[in-house]
Amino acid sequence: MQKYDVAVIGGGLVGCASAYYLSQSGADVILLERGQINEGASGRNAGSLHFQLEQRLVKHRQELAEALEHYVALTQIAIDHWRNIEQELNCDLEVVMEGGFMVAETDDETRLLEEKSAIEKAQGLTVELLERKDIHKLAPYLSDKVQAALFCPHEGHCNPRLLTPAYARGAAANKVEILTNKNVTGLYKKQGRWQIKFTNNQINKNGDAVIAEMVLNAAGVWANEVGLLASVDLPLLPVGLIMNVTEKIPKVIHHLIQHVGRKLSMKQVNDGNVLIGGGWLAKLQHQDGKWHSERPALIHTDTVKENLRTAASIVPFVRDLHLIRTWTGMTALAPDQLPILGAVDKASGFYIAAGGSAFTYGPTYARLISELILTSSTSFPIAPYAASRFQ
Amino acid sequence: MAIRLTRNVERPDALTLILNGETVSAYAGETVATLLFAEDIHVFYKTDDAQGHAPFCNMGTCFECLVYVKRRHCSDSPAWVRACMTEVEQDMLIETGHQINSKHNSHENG
Amino acid sequence: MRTAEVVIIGAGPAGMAAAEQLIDYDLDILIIDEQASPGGQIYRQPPHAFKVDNWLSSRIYKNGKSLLKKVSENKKINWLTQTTVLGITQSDDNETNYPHKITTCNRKGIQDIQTKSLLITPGCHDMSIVFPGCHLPGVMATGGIQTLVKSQQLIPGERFLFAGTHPLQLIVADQIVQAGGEVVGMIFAQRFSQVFAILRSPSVLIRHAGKFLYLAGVLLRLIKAGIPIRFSETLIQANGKARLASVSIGAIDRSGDIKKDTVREILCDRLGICFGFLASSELARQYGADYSWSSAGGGWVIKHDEWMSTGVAGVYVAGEITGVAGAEVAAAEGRLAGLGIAQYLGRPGSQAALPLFKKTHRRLQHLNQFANILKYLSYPGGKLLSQLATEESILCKCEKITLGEFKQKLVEHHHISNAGAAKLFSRTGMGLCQGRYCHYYMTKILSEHGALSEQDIGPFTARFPVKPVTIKSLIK
Repeated sequence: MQKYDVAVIGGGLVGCASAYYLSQSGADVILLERGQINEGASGRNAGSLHFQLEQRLVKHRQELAEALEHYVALTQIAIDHWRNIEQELNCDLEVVMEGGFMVAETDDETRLLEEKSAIEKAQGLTVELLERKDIHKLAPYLSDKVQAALFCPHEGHCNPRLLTPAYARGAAANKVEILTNKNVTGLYKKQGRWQIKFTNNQINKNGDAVIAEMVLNAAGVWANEVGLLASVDLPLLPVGLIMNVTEKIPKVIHHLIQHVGRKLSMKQVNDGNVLIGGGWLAKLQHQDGKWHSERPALIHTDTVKENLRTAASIVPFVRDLHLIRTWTGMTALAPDQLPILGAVDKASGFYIAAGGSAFTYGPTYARLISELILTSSTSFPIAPYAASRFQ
Repeated sequence: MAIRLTRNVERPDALTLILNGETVSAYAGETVATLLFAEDIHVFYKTDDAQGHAPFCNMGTCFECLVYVKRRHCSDSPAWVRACMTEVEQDMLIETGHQINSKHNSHENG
Repeated sequence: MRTAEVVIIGAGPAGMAAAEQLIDYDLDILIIDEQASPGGQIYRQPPHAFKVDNWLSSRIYKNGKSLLKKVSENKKINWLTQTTVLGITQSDDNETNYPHKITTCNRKGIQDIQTKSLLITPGCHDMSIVFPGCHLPGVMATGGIQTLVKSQQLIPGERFLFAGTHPLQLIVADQIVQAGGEVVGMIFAQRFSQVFAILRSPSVLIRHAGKFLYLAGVLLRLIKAGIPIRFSETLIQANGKARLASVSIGAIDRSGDIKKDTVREILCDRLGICFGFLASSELARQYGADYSWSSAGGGWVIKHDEWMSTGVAGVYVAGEITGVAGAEVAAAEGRLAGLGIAQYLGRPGSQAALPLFKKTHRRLQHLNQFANILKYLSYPGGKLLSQLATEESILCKCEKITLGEFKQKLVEHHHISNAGAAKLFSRTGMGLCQGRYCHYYMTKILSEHGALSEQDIGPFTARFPVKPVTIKSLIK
């Protein structure tokens, strides 16, 4: 049986980036992906680089106060990482960091922005509360209904089609063994090492196995299923989300647009398409009362309309664009909406990196978990994200 | 130049519309694509590399025939429509040869 | 919300035959079509405001036209014309009698319709071919040229050249010549002997004599009119700056290789490409119907049982979506689907239709014999297609991706092995046509690249809306 230092399970952003960082430090790595590289949430998300506290986190700001402060500190690390990522990977990833607005339409929402900016500023994140006339100067495409906005100059977007493949290329260049269409079916601890069994998903169903000193579960929405193979129950809940894409237009929207009181996220990608999302739900498919991980989440047309209505009320010109496609993706969220990152106490040599804005923070999670795997310590404390917090 | 068949065909009275700023006539029931062919227009829209696009399928599936249209008796704002699936109307304004969606500018607020 | 017991999507031969079959069962039927009048692409009618004498006067259109008349004049059927179906989703309430929700769009806006059952008959579209200059204005689908002639009563060009492998080009060239237009040539890639080898089987010839005689008549008329018809030749390149000016033509040798030293140029302002058709299966796939691949029969086609039922309860398919086979097969399948739906809805008397069901299946078998001959005769084959597609040719017109650029992605990312991943890596199929016109080639390239079957590669995931729609009409 082939032996490796680390077996990474999952060929999404966190998996490929971790494989890259681990192999950069000389580790012998195998990466097992059940489908295709970048096929899950890593390739299907809209590529937002959102560093302000998001609407979903702002909602829970009271119970999460302490965790949020730590999270904003982590954000600073992520911003620095994004500023250098194209140089690091030596390719164009269409990283645009021209700033992002969190908009408010009502007095209540404006007050929420003020409160939010206090938390963020206290941790050193650059944000600026703008009123209507300043907003109009920077972003004339925004509706007059926008009363105030919190502007973060670091925000923006990156092309999710390019990022994970770039890490995969880098990993492959470092001799990482990348196997796609491999379904991991068993994780067994034998003589202090992990034996990983898997089957082929395409062509035939032949089984195979490898041995690794350590396992990194970076399986995204499948992380819970993979965890269970090692008798580790991770409280990650699958969530289906919709995203909408319009046809290409000449560059108009230079910023990331989010809303503090409504579910909205908008941007215009380098190719010219406007992407519209913001956490609107798609319906997960079930079989025998259990979530069916092989079937895509289904859209509800009313949800699509509501998402687009929200977008058109904030950026009115999108009314005239064609919706080309509404797609769905699945991601995994922990009950407190924060990531699960670290070693798993009761299964030595088993690590997890999943959940919680894993596009914006994915490269950073990957770097930190790789540090932990290789050196047993990290350059930034990740203890608040340990799986043990749920016990 | 395309030719409207006349043998065995009776068309209704002509209506007039504005094509790229000039008054032209067409017949109710004709599609915008038919009118443009009859007016010897070969490029319906352009993409950002100046490549011209013109009808391929004439059945509403290829989206190669988009043109910018404003209907006079319609409160709706102008729109990019499939020329092959849109019937001509009296006083319709049609513009061709534009880069797709260049008509949206950042100050269009509403 | 508007409801119906049966919704038929597509008023072509399949949809109309199904409607005719369902008329007697006293059902609330709604037919939705994107055109202003029923008929589908084959019987695409002139505008209501036109008066056209001798419209489609040929014998081969006779049965279809009488079906069209019968269904159009039936007062019990409800119509929603000039209406695009954007997608199908499950109704909100699972317990409802109307489990399927169809989202439609027309000039009045968006309308959702709930139904107990539905028949999806979206037909097919011309296959797009990848070759240098394939994106030039002036290059058109032969089917597109034909609908301009027969419906809009317009001859869209001065000098027409047709090239491909499908006999439709004979029919369209004939219609243009009859109408007074100029056809400068018809180019068939097949060898002449290959075409006539089929006719050596007398049993086939006799059983389908009507169709062969019709085609022979067309051929004779074209020869008489002095239109050059060439075999063992193919288009190689469309030339022109802003628009089509000429087409380069070359000979094909006995082993199927294009002989580069034989290239000549034909001046024309309209090229009709005619290599066959692809099934429009995206709507059915969007709603979860199972599919399989057919290289010669339309790419991704929908699986069904003998009553034309898909795996999804209450959802039926008929016509080209099950495999491209022509109007008569489509009508026979539509009839079967009509019977299937009547039975599914438990209509009194539907059990008694068993003899008709059996008879229609026998007829279908007979019709499929001809359809299969045509299918294999018209199939261009991978060798020709891959020779035409040069590295600089545009693979995806919407996103302007050349074949060379696409192949480069596969070199950089050798692990790409399905259509979804290929789309994500390359943007191929992400544009306004939603992959309808590039997926066939892309599937073939991926299949070759990874030594995988087309089924392994799979289609692009079909998504709502199956045709682009302006945001303002969705949110109105």
